[in-house]
Amino acid sequence: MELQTVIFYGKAGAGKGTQAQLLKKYLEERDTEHPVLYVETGAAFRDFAKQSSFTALRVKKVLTEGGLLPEFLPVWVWTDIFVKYITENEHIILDGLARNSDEVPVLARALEFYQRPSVNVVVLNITQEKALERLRGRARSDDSGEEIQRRLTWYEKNVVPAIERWKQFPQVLVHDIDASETPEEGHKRILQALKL
Amino acid sequence: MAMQGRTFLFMGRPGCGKDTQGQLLADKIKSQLFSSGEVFRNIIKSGTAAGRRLQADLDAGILMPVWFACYLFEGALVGLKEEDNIVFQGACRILPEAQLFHDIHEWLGRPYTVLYLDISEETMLKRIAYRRGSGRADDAETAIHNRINEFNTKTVPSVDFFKAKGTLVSVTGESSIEEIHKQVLQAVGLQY
Repeated sequence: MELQTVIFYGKAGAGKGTQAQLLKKYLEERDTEHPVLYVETGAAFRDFAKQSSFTALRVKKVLTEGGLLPEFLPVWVWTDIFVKYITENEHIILDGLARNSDEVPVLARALEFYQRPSVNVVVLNITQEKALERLRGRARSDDSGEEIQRRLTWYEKNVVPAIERWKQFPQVLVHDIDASETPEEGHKRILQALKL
Repeated sequence: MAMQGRTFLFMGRPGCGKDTQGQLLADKIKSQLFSSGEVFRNIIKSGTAAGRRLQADLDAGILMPVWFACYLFEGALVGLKEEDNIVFQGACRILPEAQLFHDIHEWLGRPYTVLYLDISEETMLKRIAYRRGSGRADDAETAIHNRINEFNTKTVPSVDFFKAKGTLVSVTGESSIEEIHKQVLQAVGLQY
């Protein structure tokens, strides 16, 4: 199978993590010759915040008390994972990367550096109402009404322009996927879009 | 609270002695010494995909990508404890790196000093020629020319940026190693 590079986007409640995992499982079952490198920057940040360096302590503070992380940090976190783990023999699934538009060209250049054959951006779309409905159904402590609204607004303001930016790269395909139905239905649509 | 660590960055024309002076300062203050070149060579040797790509770029005469150059020094910075000192040699060769270097220090609330070892063009040429011995091959000649050209076009804007930020101290790099070391220490307020 041709090596896949898939970048997931979707607002809170769109099922991004679930779909990334379903795709990972699919690739692992269908293609036993190539492992899947799954990079989720949220988890990577939380791991980083456990370290004892000054930067890690600052990051921990921001993660618990709120505030802004500097722009270089997300890029550094995923570059570090790329440099250490990409062997060029694997499929790559990226989740939570390049969430502001300045990061997009950096990630595009990095993928070009690794000569990834084709890059697919998968955008999971659901309506604002559907997102609210799903998030209220979850029992996460950070999913209070105000917090949900804040995250959805943040997505519109920062992430939507980042997705638009990908469309300027001719070697990158951006797929809009309707994710309002069941996870299985969404998974099917993603496979179709990726021609798998 | 722990004592605030300091960051020092050596810059200057090829042959200005920044590797030697970086090492001397790092020994003096017992700090980590960061050399982009060395980290870069280690990644190339590591046999990873990144190493192979960098080698291929190097062979083709392509400059290291900016995001990668930044990654190299970021790793050293984000690993520091508050009280750690660090000495950089050979970082911030181009303006975007210098800007990021400044921004990261600002975010960390950590002061830094750029030590510019000032030598004339004449001294530079003399030292480079001396380093290489007498038998010059044409390709080595081209490589030197490229390095000088790269410094003038790419690194000078970085130097100017730090000057404008008021974080750069200029020290003459014309005298003996010991004398320059003394002046470096003086410039950063340390006892010889």
